[in-house]
Amino acid sequence: MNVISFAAVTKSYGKIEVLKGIDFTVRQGFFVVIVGPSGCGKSTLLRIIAGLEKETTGMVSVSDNPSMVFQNSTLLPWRDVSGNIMLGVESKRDVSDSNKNLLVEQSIELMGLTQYTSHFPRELSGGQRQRVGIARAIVGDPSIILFDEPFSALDAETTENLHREILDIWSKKQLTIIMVSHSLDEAIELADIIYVMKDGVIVHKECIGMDRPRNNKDVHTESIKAKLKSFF
Amino acid sequence: MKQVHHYSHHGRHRNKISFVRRLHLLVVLPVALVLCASVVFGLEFDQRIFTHIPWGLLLLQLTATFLRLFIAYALSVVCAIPLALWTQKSRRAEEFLLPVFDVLESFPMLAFFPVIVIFFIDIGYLNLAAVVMLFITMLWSIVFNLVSGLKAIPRDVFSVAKMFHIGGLRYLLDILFPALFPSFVTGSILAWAGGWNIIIVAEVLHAYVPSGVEVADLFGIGSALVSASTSGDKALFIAAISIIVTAIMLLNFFVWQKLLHFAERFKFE
Repeated sequence: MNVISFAAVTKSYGKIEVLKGIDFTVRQGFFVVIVGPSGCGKSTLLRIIAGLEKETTGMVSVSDNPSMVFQNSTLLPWRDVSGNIMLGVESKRDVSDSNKNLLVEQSIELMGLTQYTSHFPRELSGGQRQRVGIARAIVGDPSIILFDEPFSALDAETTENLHREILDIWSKKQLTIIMVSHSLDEAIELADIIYVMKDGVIVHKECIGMDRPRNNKDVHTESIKAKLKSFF
Repeated sequence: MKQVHHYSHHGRHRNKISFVRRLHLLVVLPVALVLCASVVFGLEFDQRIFTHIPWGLLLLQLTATFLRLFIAYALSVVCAIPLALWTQKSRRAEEFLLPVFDVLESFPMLAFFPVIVIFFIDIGYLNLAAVVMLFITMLWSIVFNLVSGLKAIPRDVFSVAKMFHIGGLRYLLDILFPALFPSFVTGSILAWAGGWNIIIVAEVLHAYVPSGVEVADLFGIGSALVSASTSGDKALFIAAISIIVTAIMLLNFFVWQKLLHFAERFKFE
């Protein structure tokens, strides 16, 4: 079942056309990574899925309210870890306050933040802040989560740990994930399907059939990487 | 286990200077400087200084001035917030409003004060003349600081609010106002500085009316200062200046310093 579908979608800012007729679909439970050079329109595509931008022409269909993890975690500095995560469920009128607190506690536990609940963002490392950002995204139990280059500012070890945890959450909660990334290694390590974007269009779709966990150094991975690079 | 970054939530620049030392630096030192200056300018200190100065009256005048400033400040805040938010409504609004604000801010208010005074003499509310003058002086500091504060909020913060359906009053109270708090404090400090600066002018109304029109100065520390100066009462003049300096410094010490410190926790990194 398709949870996201784009048909001939364009997006323009004034005279600048950022997306030029995007057609793509995402099936439920798939991990999709969109790669491409800076300015190719991948973040705009993600923001349209999130409902943060409106397409100029074409048709967009998203089956559920997605949640999003941003590049710089975008935590509110005046709220502690619990308060920031609570933001993800605060507006839900169909959830009681006690259930909201329970959901926040579960997210905190899932992301390994138990000892930091009353810490404020500036008391956390970059990796911990991004964990809070992920906890905030999953606390409302969405079926689709969007990641906008969430690890670009993190060190390799933290990124690797977060990759493992995201894959774990993805399989446990049977989520659909769409991630924008500039790293081919990351895309190959995580994705079921990789879309390559260039100049506002999708130029290639690559299905990754390998089992997880994947090794970035093996021959098959290297050949996929070389193939994807040729589209940049 | 990885080391956690331990930044203080109480602010990036924790002030290590003790309370007493800060009180000396901010209050006692300026007052001492005023008193020293008075000696340099030939004031003879004797017992009469402490007996003939109406300290109680000066404090009442200070209170009246403070109330005038506070009313003007409250009005400025009420008007500045919607004006600043209006500029961020759309790019077109910003392109239109900011140059208009720039022009309005550049108007020399002192030149227009006689017109304001005469208008309020006609309608019989002289206190309002001073309040309007102070209001216009204070308004722009807050507006421009709020506008730059709005521009400094990361774009994704608005996306977060939209994504989690935080709208209406909750958006204002939970997202926008906290995010604007640091620039609001800075704008307020500048507004009050401008207000104190203009208070002497704003209370001495007789200087702004055409000859033949009788008008009394407003009851306040600004007019007391001018009247002491014109009557040659150096002791009263020094006492009035000391009271103004002490009030400004105490306000700085107990309000603005605390708010600046508190505002640190609302800043985006």
